[in-house]
Amino acid sequence: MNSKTILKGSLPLILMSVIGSGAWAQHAFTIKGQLGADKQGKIMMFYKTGGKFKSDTSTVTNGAFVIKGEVTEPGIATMYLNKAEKITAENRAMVDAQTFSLEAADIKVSGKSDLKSAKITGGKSQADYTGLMEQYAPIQQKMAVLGQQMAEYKKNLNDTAILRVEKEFSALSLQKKAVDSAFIVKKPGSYLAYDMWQKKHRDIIDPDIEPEFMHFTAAVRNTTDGKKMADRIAIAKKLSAGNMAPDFTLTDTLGKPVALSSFRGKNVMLCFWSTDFIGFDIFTFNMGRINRRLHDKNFVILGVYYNNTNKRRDDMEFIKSTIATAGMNWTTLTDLHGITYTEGAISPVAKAYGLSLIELPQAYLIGPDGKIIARHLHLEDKELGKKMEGMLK
Amino acid sequence: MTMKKGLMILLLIIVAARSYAQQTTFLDEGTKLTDYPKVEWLKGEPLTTFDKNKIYIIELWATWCMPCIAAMPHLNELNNKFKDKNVVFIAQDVMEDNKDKVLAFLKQKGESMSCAVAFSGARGSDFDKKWVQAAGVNSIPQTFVIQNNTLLWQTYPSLLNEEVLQLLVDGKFTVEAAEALAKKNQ
Repeated sequence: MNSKTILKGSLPLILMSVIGSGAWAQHAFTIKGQLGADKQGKIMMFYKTGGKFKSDTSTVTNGAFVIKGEVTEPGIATMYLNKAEKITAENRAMVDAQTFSLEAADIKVSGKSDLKSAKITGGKSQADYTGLMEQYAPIQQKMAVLGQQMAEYKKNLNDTAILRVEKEFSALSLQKKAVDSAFIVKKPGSYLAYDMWQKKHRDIIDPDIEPEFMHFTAAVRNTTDGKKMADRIAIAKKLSAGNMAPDFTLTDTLGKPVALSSFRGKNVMLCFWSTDFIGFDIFTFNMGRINRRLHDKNFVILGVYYNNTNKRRDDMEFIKSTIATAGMNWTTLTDLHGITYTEGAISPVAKAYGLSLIELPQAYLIGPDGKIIARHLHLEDKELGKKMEGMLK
Repeated sequence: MTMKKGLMILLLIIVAARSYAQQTTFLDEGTKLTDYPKVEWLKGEPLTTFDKNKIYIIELWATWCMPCIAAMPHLNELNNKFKDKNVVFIAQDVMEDNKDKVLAFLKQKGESMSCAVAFSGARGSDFDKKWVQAAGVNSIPQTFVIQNNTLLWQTYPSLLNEEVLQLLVDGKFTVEAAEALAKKNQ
């Protein structure tokens, strides 16, 4: 395993996620390490279990250390030997660390010198992890070379070479994605594989991902995360074309209650939105463009605003001025504090539509009969208005 | 195809954070156009009023925009093939305020730059207000196709090709047909 490459890559960060589950019993792990005999000091290990970050510390004497603890489900962990208070650009090269997959097992760390070159074995999940890293290694090496070339070309303003490197980089990214896809297909019982798959579906999902989900073993699907995904798929099915859009009543910016069903008889673009995402301008411009195109075709836009955790975002003056400057001259309802980052959907509307902050903005097209015509409208598509025109009833 | 599409998206330079100034005029597909905004013509015949009987291909670019520059030879090639068929090509510089830089670029390109070139100036210029902001241009390059005094298509240089231009010349252009051609060629 090439641990240097791993640390440079963004994978550990991507994989650092909640695999833990409160519903599962805690399981004990023991890590026994033997590094070079000259190594003294402290080992620190960071990981997540039961949805919470945890760190353990152990003394290293003549290269030997032991860490004992408990985890609910396998997850990614990183060990550091004599970690600096702060990792900076200057000391980054000196950092001695390794990322691996931690689970309830006897885990062995063995090496003749530093931690980053040590071999970590023990547990099925770690075997999966090292297997994956071995496949990443040649791709990441090529990416590192391209990165160096790019820096050079940018200095010399070599446009054609920069474009070529960008293309090669995209091709390598695709190769890496292909490695991931193959890994996911081949490892239906792997928590790591499930986590990688799940990461691809953080944004709004469609029911057609169900076969991919069912491909994982029952044990994987019954983790906390797995159960959440099962719920999301069930909601997505309920909100498919042809089904009634769940009715609700919320207040507009003047405090007047408005029901979705009060628009019966019209085509309604129901759009759940917030302000805090990249591309807000593109979104509002496109919504305006849709409104200009369709407003006289028995069509209305109904916005439902969610604030994120930033406090000022629930201030009605802020909301009103946002609506005014973005030119959203249609009805906007507010469902303040209906979703949070930590708990997800809290309000009845957010629950009925299975919303999370990461999935905003999202929109439905609902027919005059209250039935959903289309879900998961592509709000960044500048042709959306044109496409919706053909769907109106 | 997916890969090429991915590349195309990569090649668009996103211009960050447009100001939230409220927009009052808009430029959408279907919008009628009579006048070209006030710009400074650096090359070719100046345009002030759109001729109902001509087709206009207006490509938005800047000297700092590599994908725009990469698309230039293609634009000039189309210009050379279609300039005698009532098609007017304009390379409209946008989103920069240093005219000298643009002039130096044109000098360097010389004769390879065969179409008309105009300089609009930065944010707040007439062209910026009436086109860039009005059409929600957040990234360049972008290409505008005008025929019969109407904006027919707001697209990207990579989707414009000889077949699409022929549709325009033959009066058979629809966005759907043009997109189908683009898909086929990708």
